[in-house]
Amino acid sequence: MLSVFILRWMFGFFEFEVRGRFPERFINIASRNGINMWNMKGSKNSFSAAAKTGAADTLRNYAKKTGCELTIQKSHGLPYLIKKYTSRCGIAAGLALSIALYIFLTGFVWNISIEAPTGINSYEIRALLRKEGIYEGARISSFNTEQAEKKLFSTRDDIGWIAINLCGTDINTSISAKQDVNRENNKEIYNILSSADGIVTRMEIANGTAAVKVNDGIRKGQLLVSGIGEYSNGKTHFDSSRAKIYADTYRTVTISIPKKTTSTQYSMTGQRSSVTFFGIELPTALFTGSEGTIVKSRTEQAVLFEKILPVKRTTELIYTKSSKDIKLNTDKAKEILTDRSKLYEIFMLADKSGGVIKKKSCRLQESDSEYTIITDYTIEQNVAVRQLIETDREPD
Amino acid sequence: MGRKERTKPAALDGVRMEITGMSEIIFEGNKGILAYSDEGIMLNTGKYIVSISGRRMRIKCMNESVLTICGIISEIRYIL
Repeated sequence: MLSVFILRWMFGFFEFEVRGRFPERFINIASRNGINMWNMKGSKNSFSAAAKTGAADTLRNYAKKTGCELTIQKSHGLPYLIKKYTSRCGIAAGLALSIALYIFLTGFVWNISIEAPTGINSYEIRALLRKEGIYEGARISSFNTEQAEKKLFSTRDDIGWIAINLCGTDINTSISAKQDVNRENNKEIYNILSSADGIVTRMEIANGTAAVKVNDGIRKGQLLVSGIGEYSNGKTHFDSSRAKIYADTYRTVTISIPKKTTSTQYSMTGQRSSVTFFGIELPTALFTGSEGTIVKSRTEQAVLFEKILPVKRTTELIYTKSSKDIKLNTDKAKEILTDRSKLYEIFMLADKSGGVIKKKSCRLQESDSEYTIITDYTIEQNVAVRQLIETDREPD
Repeated sequence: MGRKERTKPAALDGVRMEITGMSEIIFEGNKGILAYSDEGIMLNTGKYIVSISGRRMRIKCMNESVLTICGIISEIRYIL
């Protein structure tokens, strides 16, 4: 029914009323001559109905023939709408211009989104895409996504799979990292040694024969899991040992700070912003930073009805560096040293996968020229390190 | 045997009426409207007259021989 209404609206229709002694005659003549009418409501000596636009003159003639009077009450549809606005050139021109602009703008890339796993830098991918002619503002017809996929795949060794999809005016790039295929030769034999002194707390052995047990004290370089084992019948077998051996290790860290120090401060001295439209940057303020300034930028993407538009606003805040000599008191020194040791802990634990600080004690010492914080850590960490055993011997 | 029985087209039989409940009639084989008001419609089929009575009667749409009548239909009569 909706489609019928849309078709009627597109071709235009009008509502009319026929008055006379025999309106039925009018209906019969009109229908016999192939004029379709709908929504006919009858009353005494009159009826109202609707018919398509082109039939108005014919119906008027039939009304005259049958002695009726035809009055057009309302007109609906596109032809009437066009007629109404034809005299208003501005609206027609605006409509034509907006359609032309729409067609023109949809020929360009509006936005590029990159879904990359950790380890693959999306900025690098964006730069590679740019080399292939895919960038915000590029003409859609000027590049080939399949070719770009192949090129990127051959350029980067760390890409396992890549898909560049053009969705309307958006480019969606999905990347999967290459899976590390274990190409280790099974014939190679490994021992697992300790990388630090400590006490074994737990062991997860996938392959190999344990040479230590939980609560054993271990030294750096000590054999933890052996790649050479023995069956119950006395025969020897070789393994490529794999294990995680966790041990409590101990470490003392000393961090010092001079009593008289130079404090560096950054204060905001200016701001500049720019608008990027289809990848073309248009500065809205001219301001250049001098030496010793740093720039912090923030980008805001224009979004309309959840659709990312090719318009970006970049605001750059310019900070100027200034130095000041300060003399530290104990509280301030403790605060700074605590912050630094926290930073140290973050970096230290990042090195040791799965490392946990189990215990820590710190003390502050003051000398004539500096403050020192000494921290004793007990860290539970994986101390297993694999070592290849060079041998020509084949197992029994 | 095994052949599907097909309904005869309205042109061969003269008149075909499809009634939906008491609110709609699709009428094929109309040769002219004799009377039309809010309370009833009389249709000429050539051989006889079909009188449809009711309330709030209106012709939803019509072309040369087919028309759709809507309203609250209370009576259909054949006048020979």
